[in-house]
Amino acid sequence: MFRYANPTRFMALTSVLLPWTIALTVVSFAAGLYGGLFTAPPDYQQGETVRIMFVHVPAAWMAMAAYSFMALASLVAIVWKHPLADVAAKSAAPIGACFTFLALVTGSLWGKPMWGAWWVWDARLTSMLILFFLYLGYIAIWQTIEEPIRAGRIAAILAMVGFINIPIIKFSVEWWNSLHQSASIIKVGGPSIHISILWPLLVMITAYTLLFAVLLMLSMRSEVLKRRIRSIRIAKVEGFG
Amino acid sequence: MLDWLFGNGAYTGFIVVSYGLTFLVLGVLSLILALDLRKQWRALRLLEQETGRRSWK
Repeated sequence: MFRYANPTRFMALTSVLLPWTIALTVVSFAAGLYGGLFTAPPDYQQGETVRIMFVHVPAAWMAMAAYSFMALASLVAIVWKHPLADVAAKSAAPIGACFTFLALVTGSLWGKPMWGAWWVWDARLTSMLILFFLYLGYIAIWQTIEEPIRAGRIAAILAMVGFINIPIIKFSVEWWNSLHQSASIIKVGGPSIHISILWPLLVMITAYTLLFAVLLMLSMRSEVLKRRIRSIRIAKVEGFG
Repeated sequence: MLDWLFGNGAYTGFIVVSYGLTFLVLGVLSLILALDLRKQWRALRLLEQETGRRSWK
């Protein structure tokens, strides 16, 4: 894996991978949306509103997955000083923030008809809101500190410390009384969702994961170019000096 | 006014807004990242022409 941590290799590899990943993402979204909107039956309790699940659950999963990726990349950046690790962590943050925002808003739009409230200060909802603020804080550090090495180090510490929130989100519905339903896919005894609803959900989760990969590659390529431009400019200034 | 969309028993609005907002946000994010990448490539090419350095194709 470390072999591809070279920016030149990364640019070459992603230029090949990107079009294929985009094509797979489009196909997955088409299949997932077809399954979610046309073939999945209405839920016996929730009726048609269950269809919100096909955009809400993948967004929530990706919000947590993107943060976990960011925390892992930050750890690699701090411990091994990997040249692409903090590029990866920095690039994942705005994408993860968007997924978290979508999970919160679609959750609210699902909560109103089902619970009768747009928002409740429930452990799951509150810990997701904290995740959103962690993303914003991480982005703010990169925006406000001009010196990239210092910004990267401080942002990495925040990402790693903030990772404690991920298991809290996951187990919040078991640790505290919650309006939010408990796990129904990854649980002991297998998923408790009928296959007709489960397969479009899994396809949508795949589509979101592929989209994350596409957006991450775009963002990382852009960041690598920004750093290259910066180093050429510094070399140019030093050359004149 | 929006009872047909968000009223009791009429859940169409919640579903439409959820899907609409999701694809709007993801679409705008994709567009921003793609345009930023194109901007960086142009800036790099311009700088390479000025300095005579060569980076990536």
